[in-house]
Amino acid sequence: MFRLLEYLFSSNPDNIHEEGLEKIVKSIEKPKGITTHHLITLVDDVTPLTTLPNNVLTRIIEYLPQNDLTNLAMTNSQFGRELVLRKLSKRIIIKKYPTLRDGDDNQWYIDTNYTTISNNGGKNINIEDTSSLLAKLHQFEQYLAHEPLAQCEELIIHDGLPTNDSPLLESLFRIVCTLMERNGGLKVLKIFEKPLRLKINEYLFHQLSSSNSNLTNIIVDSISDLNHLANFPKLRCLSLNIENDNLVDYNLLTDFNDTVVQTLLSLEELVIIDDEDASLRILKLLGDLLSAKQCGEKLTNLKSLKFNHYHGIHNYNSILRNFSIIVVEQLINLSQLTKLEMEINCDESHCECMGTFLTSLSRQLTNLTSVAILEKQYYNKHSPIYKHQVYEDWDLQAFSFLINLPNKQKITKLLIKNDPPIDGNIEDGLEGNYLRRRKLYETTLPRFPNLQQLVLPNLMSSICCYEQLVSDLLWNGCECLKCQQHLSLFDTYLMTHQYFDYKQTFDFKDMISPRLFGFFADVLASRIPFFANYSNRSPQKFVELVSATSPASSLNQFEMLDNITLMAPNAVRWDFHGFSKIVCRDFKNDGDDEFYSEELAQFVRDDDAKSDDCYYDDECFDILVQCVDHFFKGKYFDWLAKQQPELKNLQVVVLNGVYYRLEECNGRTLANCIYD
Amino acid sequence: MSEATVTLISSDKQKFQVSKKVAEKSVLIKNLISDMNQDDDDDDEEEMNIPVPNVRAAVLQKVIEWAEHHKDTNFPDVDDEDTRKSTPVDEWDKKFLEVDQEMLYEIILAANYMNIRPLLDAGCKIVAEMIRGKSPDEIRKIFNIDNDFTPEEEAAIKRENEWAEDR
Repeated sequence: MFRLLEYLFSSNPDNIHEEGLEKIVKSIEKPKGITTHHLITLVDDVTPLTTLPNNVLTRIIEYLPQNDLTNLAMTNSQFGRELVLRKLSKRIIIKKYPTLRDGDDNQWYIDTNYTTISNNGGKNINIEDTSSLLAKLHQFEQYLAHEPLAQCEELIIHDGLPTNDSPLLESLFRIVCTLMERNGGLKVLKIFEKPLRLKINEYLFHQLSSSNSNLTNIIVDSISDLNHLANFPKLRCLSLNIENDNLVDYNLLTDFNDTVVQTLLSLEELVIIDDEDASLRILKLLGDLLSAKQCGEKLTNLKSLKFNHYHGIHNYNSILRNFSIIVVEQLINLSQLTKLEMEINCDESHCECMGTFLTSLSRQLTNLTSVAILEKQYYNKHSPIYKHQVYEDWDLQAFSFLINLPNKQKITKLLIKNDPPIDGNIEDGLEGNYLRRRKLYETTLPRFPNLQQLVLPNLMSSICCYEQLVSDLLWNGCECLKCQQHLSLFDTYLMTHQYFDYKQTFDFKDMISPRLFGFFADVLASRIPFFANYSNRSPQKFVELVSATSPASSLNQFEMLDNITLMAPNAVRWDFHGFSKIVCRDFKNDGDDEFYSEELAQFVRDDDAKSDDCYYDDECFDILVQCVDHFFKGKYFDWLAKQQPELKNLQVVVLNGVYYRLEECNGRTLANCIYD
Repeated sequence: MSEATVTLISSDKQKFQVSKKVAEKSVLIKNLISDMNQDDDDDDEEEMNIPVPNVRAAVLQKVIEWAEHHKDTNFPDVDDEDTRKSTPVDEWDKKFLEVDQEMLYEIILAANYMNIRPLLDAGCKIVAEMIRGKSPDEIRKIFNIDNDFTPEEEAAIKRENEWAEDR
């Protein structure tokens, strides 16, 4: 390309014979998006791009990610001072991890939806050191000061940022205040980091004039905060994050003012995250509140509902432990819901409350278009290994719910998430058991003929529970030359690394394929931008991250998960050390028994984890993702391709953080892996 | 029964007879036809001549070719910006838009004028692809953009936008 441009612009165009030019053009590797025809016109004086009308230029800009926008801004004042400026600051997301960008010619434009401010600064940055992010935030503050007209409609601040970093939190606080006080203000503000959210909510509730607020959503952390919602006349989405709130203490007639009822009635989206996994008690409280205020109405505008509920081992939720459809019906007109997400389980022996609840619920969901069903398991320290049957039982109830939905034909988005242990260690993890669970998917999915988006965010974590599957991946999987070369690397990895077995032997053991792929799957899944509490399990940290009771990562509780494909994934990697004290030294055979107990294993520190001559690092992560991509294609997409025409509308599939777009080519459905 | 047709007349007075279904891929023409039908009280099928004054014949022919190909295509909701973002350019459209830059611009302008959102989107995505991964200098050269910044202004713009670089 450069050769051609130099040639073209240094030569007299009259001297260039078209035949000669064709040869040059054909000999040059074409850059993405430029065809031979496009290059030929460079000879002529093409109409300047700037002469296109602004509405067309705005539309072109909509399809450009931020790095290209900053380049375009420097070409000319029309872009630099107006068009690009508007787009860059319109929707901003602040997070720890940089955004994963797609490969060549994929034309997957989701990385153009948000401008990311992340802790980025090259490939090998220590992601725990947030100085790069702080510097970016200061630059953004300067930008806002310099551009008083820059508007931001949507700001998302992810969790995972260090909450003890006061300069960082102060900078974020100043940014939110500045954007809120600008003319127009923010329409969407999502703060997933609790300490920052509490500080900003304090400001929103007590300092911001209500006439200034165009906010359509808010996350509150106490039931009593509902009284402040009158400050937000345009509020449509409410997220309640309830921790340690004793609902019995509330007097419905005196503790809540009348505006709370009005705000509730105008809601279109309600997200309830109860720390005690008992959201139904909060729905009951809201229903009782409406009754007490004698409005006698349901939340008639509600279209989206998300909640979590668990009936099982704990007994601190004395108000409502069992699943109960009555409390939901009392508050919500279920036939109006278009989006439903629930993280649920019941492990009380001989209790059938969840099954009964789901049966009653499914019958009434006549307008659903998006459904997410997530499993919740409590891992007990005293019996940390669960049987396969526990997971299959949940699957049976979840899939029965899906099959009973009356409008399966209208469902376009489906997410199913299991909650396996992070290390893939379950009892009875036999291939036959896996095949039975797989059969559930095979019989259920074709019943959703309009399905466009399928997300199985931790499929790999579930697969790891069946050793034969991951061993197949490693030793009998894809036979392409690339996989053969790459997978042998990980065969060697198993032979040269050990992990600490918290669950059974309390000793270092040789790595095995379920552990490798279990930890790998956990990191890979966190590419999905809505994974929660990732800061507590950064693979960069080493000591005491994973214990016997750790489940695989869970999804962010505040975001509606059907938005997964609106936000580009995180660029995360793992260096194959850490987690369950994975080390590349042979501790087991040292003849030194100081590590032979759980307590003494604490002495294994970062310095012990990785020896100088170990060549497994972040780069290997990308290689293994490609191998897993080939495994998924052979194992699942071949099956999907045969499901035409039942699943002919399926466009996007996300498997454990690996993104696919399905395309039809010569009558066959091909899975195009977008990032790997 | 034969398919209803309309005649589109380009800016250089060339006539193109197309089926009504094809012509109605343009929202502008669809609305015009609807208005003309309302004004026309008698039921007789008269030949409908619709001038498209901003589009020359060569470009109109391309637009008609596109509309013919997509006459049975159901495009996703054009008002849903996020859906449009996750939809790649159709393979056929990509080939169809392999034209020189002048023609590409003219197709985009015609789609904009005739209100054919899927074609406008496809054209804009192709231009965006041509911008992706290029330095400011390369973009200026490819798109014949005049650099109206002083070196100081250019440096200032670069500094101001550093917050938005995610490299």
